[in-house]
Amino acid sequence: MTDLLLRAADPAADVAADPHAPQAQALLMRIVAEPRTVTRRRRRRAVRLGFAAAVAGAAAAIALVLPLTGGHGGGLTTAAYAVTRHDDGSFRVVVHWAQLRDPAALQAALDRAGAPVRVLTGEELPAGSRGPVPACAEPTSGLPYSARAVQWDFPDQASEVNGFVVRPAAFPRRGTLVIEVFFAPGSSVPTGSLSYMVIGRVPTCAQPVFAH
Amino acid sequence: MQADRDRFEALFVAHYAAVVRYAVRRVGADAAPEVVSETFLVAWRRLADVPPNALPWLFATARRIAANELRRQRRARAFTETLAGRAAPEPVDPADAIDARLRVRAALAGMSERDREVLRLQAWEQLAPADAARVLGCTTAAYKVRLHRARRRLAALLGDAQPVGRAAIPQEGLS
Repeated sequence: MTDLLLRAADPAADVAADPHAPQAQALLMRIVAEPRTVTRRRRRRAVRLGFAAAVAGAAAAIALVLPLTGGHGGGLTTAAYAVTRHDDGSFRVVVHWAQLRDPAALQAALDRAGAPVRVLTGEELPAGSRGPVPACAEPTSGLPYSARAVQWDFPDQASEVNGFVVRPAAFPRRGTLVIEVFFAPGSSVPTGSLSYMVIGRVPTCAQPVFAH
Repeated sequence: MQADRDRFEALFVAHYAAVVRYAVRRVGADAAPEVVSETFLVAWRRLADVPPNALPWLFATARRIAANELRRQRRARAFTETLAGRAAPEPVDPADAIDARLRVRAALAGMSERDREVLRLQAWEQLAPADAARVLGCTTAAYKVRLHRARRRLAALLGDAQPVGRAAIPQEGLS
């Protein structure tokens, strides 16, 4: 009964909105004339945070610090990432993007720490190129998340190093933070990343992104 | 870029009407064009973030923009009321004064914004529970619980509602 009454009270029941009407088409033309502000660099969540500082701050609990080499048989240069679990159930993650050659190893470190975070890899394709969206990425419907759930130090600042705190207690139920890391075809150096929250089923691969 | 433009144009054509109606329901016909414009502009700029099932994402974006617009309207109204030294009169269509629609809108106005939005998404946008949950950023189960409780509260309010006069005309939208 209440549903019927509600529908009868719809103030927009008689609103006709034709996307092909001149007014709507004018709006469409104005919008697509706007510059695209989401660039490859801005897609990256980044922070200029020293790796050593991150490790020094990881005083509590388990520290899973997995250093990687530079990849040329040389000595240890810097750690690609660090995952630290704190006593309050939160996690501190630091990623050195330029050194991240093996996202699967980062995923393994997150899993060992028990962090509800999934790292996916995807391709950054040249602007204007076309390609099928992988079937595994189709169900992806990312949600924004609160700064309480995932707190990036400087979310809008592009940098090669990035740090964030994950607080599972502030996640929605069955929520998982997904971080997509993109590589140009044939490259082993990430070109960017983005993050979002999913509830329930987690995608197994990332949709490709296109360079702008 | 052409692929992006093609995708955006298809998205615009598919969802323009739904977003317009969503905006009219939240901020009224006068302010709706601004909300619609802003919503699609955000979608254009963040096209890579728009999921294949785009409508809940668009509604969630429009919801945030509408909330800003309503805050602006409230500030403007408060300023007007201050200048006048009394509450600004609300527009009323006399033909609707005894209409059941006004009783429902008055009942909605007496509910929390959370209850209102749950009911509107279900009854006006007619979203499936999973999509409505995406708009609200909660789980489908949580949405269903909220909807059940909101319906009960609305039914109680309608049962107690008195004939609506001029002073009880509701303010639509987010609070």
